[in-house]
Amino acid sequence: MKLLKILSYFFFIGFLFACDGDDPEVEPTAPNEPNAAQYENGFLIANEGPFQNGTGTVSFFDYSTNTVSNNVFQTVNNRPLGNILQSVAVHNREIFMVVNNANKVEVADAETFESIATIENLALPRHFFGVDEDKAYVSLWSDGTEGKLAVIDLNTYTVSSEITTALGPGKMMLHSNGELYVPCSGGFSSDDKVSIINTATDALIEDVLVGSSPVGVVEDKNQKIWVLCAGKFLPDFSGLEESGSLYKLDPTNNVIEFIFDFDDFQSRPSNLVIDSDGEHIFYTLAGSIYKMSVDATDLPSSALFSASLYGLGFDPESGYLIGSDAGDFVSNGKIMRYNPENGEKIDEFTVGVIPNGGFHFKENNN
Amino acid sequence: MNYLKELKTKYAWWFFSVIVWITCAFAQNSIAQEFNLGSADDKSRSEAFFSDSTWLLESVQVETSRLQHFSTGSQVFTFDSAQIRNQQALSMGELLANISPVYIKSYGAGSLSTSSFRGMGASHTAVLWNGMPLQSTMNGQLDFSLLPANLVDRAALQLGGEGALWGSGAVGGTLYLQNEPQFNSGIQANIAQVFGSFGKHFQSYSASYGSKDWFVSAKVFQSKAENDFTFNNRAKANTPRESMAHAAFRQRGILLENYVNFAKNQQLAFRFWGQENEREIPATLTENSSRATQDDRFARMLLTWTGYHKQIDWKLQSGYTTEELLFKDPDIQLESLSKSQTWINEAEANWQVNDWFLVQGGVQHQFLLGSNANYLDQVQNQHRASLLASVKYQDQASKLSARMSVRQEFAEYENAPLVPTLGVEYQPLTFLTVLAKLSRSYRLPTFNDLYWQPGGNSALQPEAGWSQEVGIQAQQDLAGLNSRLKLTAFSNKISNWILWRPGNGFWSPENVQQVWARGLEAAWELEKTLPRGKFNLLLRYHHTKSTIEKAYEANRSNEGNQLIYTPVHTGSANFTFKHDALKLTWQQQYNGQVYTTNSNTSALPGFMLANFLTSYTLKHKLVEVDLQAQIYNIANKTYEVMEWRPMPGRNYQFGIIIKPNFNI
Repeated sequence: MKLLKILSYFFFIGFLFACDGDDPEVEPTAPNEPNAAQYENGFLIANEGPFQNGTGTVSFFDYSTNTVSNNVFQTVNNRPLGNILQSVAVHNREIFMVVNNANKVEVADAETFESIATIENLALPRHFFGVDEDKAYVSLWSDGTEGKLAVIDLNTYTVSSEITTALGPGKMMLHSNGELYVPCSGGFSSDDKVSIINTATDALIEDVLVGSSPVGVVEDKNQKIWVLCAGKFLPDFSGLEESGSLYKLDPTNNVIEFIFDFDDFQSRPSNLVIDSDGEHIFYTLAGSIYKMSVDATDLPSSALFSASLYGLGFDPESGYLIGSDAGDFVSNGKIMRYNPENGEKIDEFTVGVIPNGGFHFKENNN
Repeated sequence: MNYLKELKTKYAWWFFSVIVWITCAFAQNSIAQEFNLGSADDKSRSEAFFSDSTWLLESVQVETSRLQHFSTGSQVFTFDSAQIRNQQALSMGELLANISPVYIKSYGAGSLSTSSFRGMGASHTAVLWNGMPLQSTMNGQLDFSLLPANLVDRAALQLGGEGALWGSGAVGGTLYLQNEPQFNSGIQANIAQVFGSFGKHFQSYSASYGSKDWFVSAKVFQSKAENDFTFNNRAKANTPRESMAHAAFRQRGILLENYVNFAKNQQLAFRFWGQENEREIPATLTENSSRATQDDRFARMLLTWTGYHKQIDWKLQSGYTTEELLFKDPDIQLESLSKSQTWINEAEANWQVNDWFLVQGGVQHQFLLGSNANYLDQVQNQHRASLLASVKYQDQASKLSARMSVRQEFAEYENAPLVPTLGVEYQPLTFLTVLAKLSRSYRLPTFNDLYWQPGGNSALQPEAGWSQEVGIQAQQDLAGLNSRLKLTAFSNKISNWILWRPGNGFWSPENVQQVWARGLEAAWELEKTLPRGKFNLLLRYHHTKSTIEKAYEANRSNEGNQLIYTPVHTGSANFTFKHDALKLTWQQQYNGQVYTTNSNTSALPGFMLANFLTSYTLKHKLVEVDLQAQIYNIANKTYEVMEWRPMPGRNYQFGIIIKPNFNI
């Protein structure tokens, strides 16, 4: 392993020299921001790790070299992250790694990746959202009977209070109006709500009823809210009782503006992302990736491209779609970069075991 | 099958079995006494038990005739009650890890342990208790930690695929467990107490009576441990010393046996085995904590009628198993109860045609019932029937023997392939035997594979494959020093390997993989009988490549990689020295590195373990007392068999076995 590490350093240095010598101007996607910490100049990939006996790992895609380094946390800190890394986030120049089955969030320095703290006693945490310098939320599936947001005091890295949400809260999104949207997919069972939180008072404003199993929320260029609902399985899982759907909400009063029904009773849509201009949304359905204009009045009839992706992200920095492929779930997975215009694959990189959609991209909301 | 369902509580079965047992006991009064069967001395029978040398068909051996007469060409490794007695507080999983060439995947002390024979998976081992298969209907595996070593009198491991003899699941190998009567043994009793590190306490009480035509035996045991051993937590900064939490277990069981030679050349055997197991499921090092528990309960009973007449012997057997598994995890409000019942009826007969040919025919029917809230319709059942035939040729001088076996199983929804086996043994020189075997094996999809919701796939095909092996066995006796060498090369290719993969929102099994296991096995045994004892040295080395030949399409790059948790190198050294009443044993095992991902990108290091066992027997005319002491993992080695599940360091067990002599 040591040899491998040394070799990788050599490759790394060699690559730098190569870039320097050949054409130094071809680096448009890697602006040198003096204030960005080392691990902010790229994006982070959450690898869940093997189920049961495994540990999750973090991979880092470095914009300055276009390379991926794997297992960063363990390499720096000499210990594993824990069982099932659900997602990663960067806030206050600190990296927050949400480790689901280990009931904790590991906190590391975004410059060095050295461990700073461990936020413990979180019942099945899913996602992290940094509100301000002192406060953050972590969504919890809890024991399945209620959903919660743990309110984290970032000075002490402890839970200061809890907010009850609908079941199975997922990835939170802060709207430009200051309200936090939490899709609640139901966790171990099913639910059909988006919980809306006042981040100033930590109070639940309301639960908006949407389709079954909402898995993602994004805001478009018109400040409209898009909610992707995966749909509901038949009791015998032979198909869907309720097909997937896409909801468009007006945030001013949270009324439903439009419902797009997938009318597919076999496959569930998943992985909602939006480009940085807020003009197109992307999602996955039955082994394909779809692209849709936020002004469209119909679901796209054909796919952008086909790929069996476990997770999907949009990297605002490079403007590429990022897909993760977990393969057989007991092997190292890979991430692919795609051109969002035509779905062409740019390149791919080997990452850890089970890379999911819990990326952290620069300029993300969290 | 309504009446089966009605007998829901375990108590009903316990009651039932005790009644049958008592009834049998009373029945023996009216039994004809003139026929003398099993009075043959124990020693000669034990030697003949798994060897191929004997042609004599005794009723007691009819039960194991398949293993005894039709395993020609196979590598068979046997161990008996003497070896078990020395480590009686162990589970079969722990015992096999210590003394056998089988790789045992242990999730921790007292936790789940599964086996890997010849580079195959956990569900590729057939386990038979007196001929009745024990693998779970639900997942095709047997948890070896629920199999107390001291409940069997004798065991045999047959390495390699052998679908023809043992049916579904006998892909990597077969573990055969046998209980035997001891006729003419009079009244016997046995009290055993073993105390060990980490709150281990094992106790066993048994009593038996053997007359000329009747043997009855009862054995109860309890085993428990806290398992609060300390270990260095490598998942935390600076690897602090921590003690294992939430890993306690308790097992209680009973084994009743009743054998009656009820008519000339005929024997009836009834066996009952009930057991209750409770255990805490510890968190892995990468989890925070665990409050999960698992309770397993089962009752197994077996009625066997064996007999012979002239050149024909027969066996009729009826077996019933009911099992219950309750898994609870309060952290996610989960309570999952699985129940299964199996009813097996089989008949087989051997016909010794002449001095050269032995023919066997058999028919078997199994009715399987499984229930879980996650099953389609909650309850599922299956009928399976098999036809089995074997013929064996052996020349008079025993220089050449050859056999052919074939089985066809008909499962309700899918037919298993026709599985033949061809085995040959040839002894060109007095000290040298050459063995060869060509065999096909298969595994039917389990109930979980077929019916679990979501994901269960009723379109699954059975896994199937061909295996070949050749071996030599050389034996030489030099001035009382007996040297035995065994070398075997094998190859086993399995297609349609069932893998659970995530699909449309849930996991689902598919026939996606092809695996090729091949390897070399070497064993060298030296034994010398001394004036007041003997010594024995057994060295083994196994080299097993078990590679993914065909992978799921997204993981083609894994093709050629070693299967996870399957070591390439395993080896062991066992040294036993016996002098009068003293017995010393040194066990040394090496398990090589295993990969933990199919991409072979992460691995667990190999480990070497050493155990030291000693016992001293005090003999008095009224009582025999056996004192035992064992040190396991002498070097206090930190190791994991399954990643992030630490195993105990150095630990001790002290035992005493008291056998009063009632037959003065």
